[in-house]
Amino acid sequence: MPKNRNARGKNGRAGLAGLVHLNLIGVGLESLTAKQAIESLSELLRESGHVGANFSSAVWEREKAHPTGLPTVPVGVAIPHTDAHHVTRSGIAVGILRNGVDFLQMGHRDAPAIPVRIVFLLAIKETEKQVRMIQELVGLLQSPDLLRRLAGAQDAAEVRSVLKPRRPTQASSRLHA
Amino acid sequence: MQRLSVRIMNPVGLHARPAALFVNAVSDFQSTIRIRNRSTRSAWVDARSILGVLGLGVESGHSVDLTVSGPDEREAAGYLKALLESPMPDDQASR
Repeated sequence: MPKNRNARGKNGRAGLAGLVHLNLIGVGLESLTAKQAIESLSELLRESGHVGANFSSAVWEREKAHPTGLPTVPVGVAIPHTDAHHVTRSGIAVGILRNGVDFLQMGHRDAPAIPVRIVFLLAIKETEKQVRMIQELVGLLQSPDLLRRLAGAQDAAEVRSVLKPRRPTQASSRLHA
Repeated sequence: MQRLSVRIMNPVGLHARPAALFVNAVSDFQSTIRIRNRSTRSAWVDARSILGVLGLGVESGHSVDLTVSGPDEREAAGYLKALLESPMPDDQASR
């Protein structure tokens, strides 16, 4: 059994995948900086009516003060977010960056920046939900295989299928077929 | 070795900014510090690891156990207890 099964938590991936719509996924983004990556993904959320015009700058201000780069393996991940009042409707934008972009590390103010290839930009309206989303994400992020598949995804549909929860019943019926 | 248990009253639990604050504080001490979520009977994790701490899923109202061992264990235990018991008021996600 893969190690990440336990880390995924009791909620599985349903909550997260339900908030990542195809039009919120950017693959092969050419962003050169963390700020650019946040701006590109914020634009996807803004166009689809999830956030207002100030969301991007609010996220960037928070990122500068409280960085969200995570030292995951084999590629770095960042989970920028901001206050719920900038959000109109909950959604999560996912960016797969062509090249690693430097994000500072969450929880280690003096640590070197991490080259990030995958960004989950969280726009969550309910604080309680944000907590659960972060926990669910962290469960996912502990699977090197899943991160490798995300980083190598060719299009939005592939990203979405990697993030989609697999029902244990289907998996076991396949095993016994 | 110092052992302590703390109930987390911060409205967002030990997530995002509170988790980052905690890991930052842990990194300032020389002692080896481990933490687990007592409420979910989680495994122990290294308190310096942000992924480890986020993965504990500590929600508001949960209790955590810590072990602190090393040259500054008393100071570290006292400081971390106070930090974890505080509302960590600067957290924006709680607004």
